[in-house]
Amino acid sequence: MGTTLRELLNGHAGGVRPGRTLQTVLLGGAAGAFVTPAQLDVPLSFEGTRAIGATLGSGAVIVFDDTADMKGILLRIARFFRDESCGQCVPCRVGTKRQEEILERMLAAPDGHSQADVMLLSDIAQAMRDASICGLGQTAANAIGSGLTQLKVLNG
Amino acid sequence: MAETVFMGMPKRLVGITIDGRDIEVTEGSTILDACRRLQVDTPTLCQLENLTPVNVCRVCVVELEGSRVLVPACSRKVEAGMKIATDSERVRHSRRLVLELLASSVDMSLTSPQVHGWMARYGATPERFGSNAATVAQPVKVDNDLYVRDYSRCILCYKCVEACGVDAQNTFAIGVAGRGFDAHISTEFDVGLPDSACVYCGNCIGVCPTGALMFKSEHDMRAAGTWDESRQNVTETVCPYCGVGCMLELHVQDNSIVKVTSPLDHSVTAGHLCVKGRFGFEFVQRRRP
Repeated sequence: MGTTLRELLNGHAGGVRPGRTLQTVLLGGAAGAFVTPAQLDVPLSFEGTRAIGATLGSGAVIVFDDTADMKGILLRIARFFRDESCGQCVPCRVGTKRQEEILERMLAAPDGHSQADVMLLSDIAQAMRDASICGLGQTAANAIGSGLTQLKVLNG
Repeated sequence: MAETVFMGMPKRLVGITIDGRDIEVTEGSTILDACRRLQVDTPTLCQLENLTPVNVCRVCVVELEGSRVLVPACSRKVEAGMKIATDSERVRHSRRLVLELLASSVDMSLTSPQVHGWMARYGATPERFGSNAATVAQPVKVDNDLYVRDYSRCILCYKCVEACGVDAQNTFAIGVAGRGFDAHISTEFDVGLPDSACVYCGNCIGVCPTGALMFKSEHDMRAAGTWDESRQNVTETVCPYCGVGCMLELHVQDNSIVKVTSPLDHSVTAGHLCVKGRFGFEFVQRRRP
């Protein structure tokens, strides 16, 4: 607890492979948040991660170097939540499906995404966070929202 | 000398605040009960007086001070000192999104006018998800003479499952199969109704809020364009078959019975009937050729 992310990556885990650069770290698992290389000095504690809008979540640290296809990763996360939704409550059952549809549309748009889709995603995210029955639906939009703001995945 | 009458255990009153108004309700009441006492119109889809709350539709959510997430009014019991907001920005947002998500994936055209009123009140515009948004559209299942199942109208409120199960019929012919967006109401192994455990009590039709489950007579008349509720009269009577005394409401159009229901608040039926009361009316209108 309290070790910085940089120490963990470079000191304990050996850093990225030679010739590659770090692109981003997904902290806390599929329901966590993306951390940029500029934020590597975050202490791995509840308070430290909260201060930069991230979370320790499940404790998972997923590191992506510059060769990783982040569009594919974000779509994979959206599909994961669509698959994992049990289908009981409306915000999660339909919300995770709509989130996947809209994200697909946004990432594929050659001339840049529409502002209406950004609004839709954030509207869905808030309803899933506020009104889903369980933690899966309540956190299903976390990594998508974080990825879209932290990573350069959108065209235009 | 008069017999002692047991009145039940005394219940404490619990004080809560809803939208700044103080109210005392009996212990064990739900937030929804308290809202209704104050005549705060609260949208509900999966809630019904004669069924156990499942709190799955999430359209009744309210904001509870000190709670990280919104809470479902239909099932959350009151606790002393609760401070509740029923019309905050967060509440309006979630109610709007729930209605939009449902209406963008399900045919809600046969839901009650009340539902359409809530959609207008919360500014729900389901079209904004685009014309390619996935839906649950599918062909109507017509596999028997008594009722049809149109799951393109199903919002998965679980009411039919509850009425078929421990809340009324204890037949367990239907349940929820699949998961996520593919979750759907199904018989065992998806067999047709005649091969399932269904006993045709029709209690699932009685609780369905969207017209997904419908008398075949109503379905056929709607298809032929002859269904006209303004031309229907409701006649109350008592079921003639056995001695239980179930109250029937015969919906009659052009001198023919087209549908049978029973009032939810009736002490004998609580809205539920059996196959004879629900569907055994043909003999009444048997006419000589």
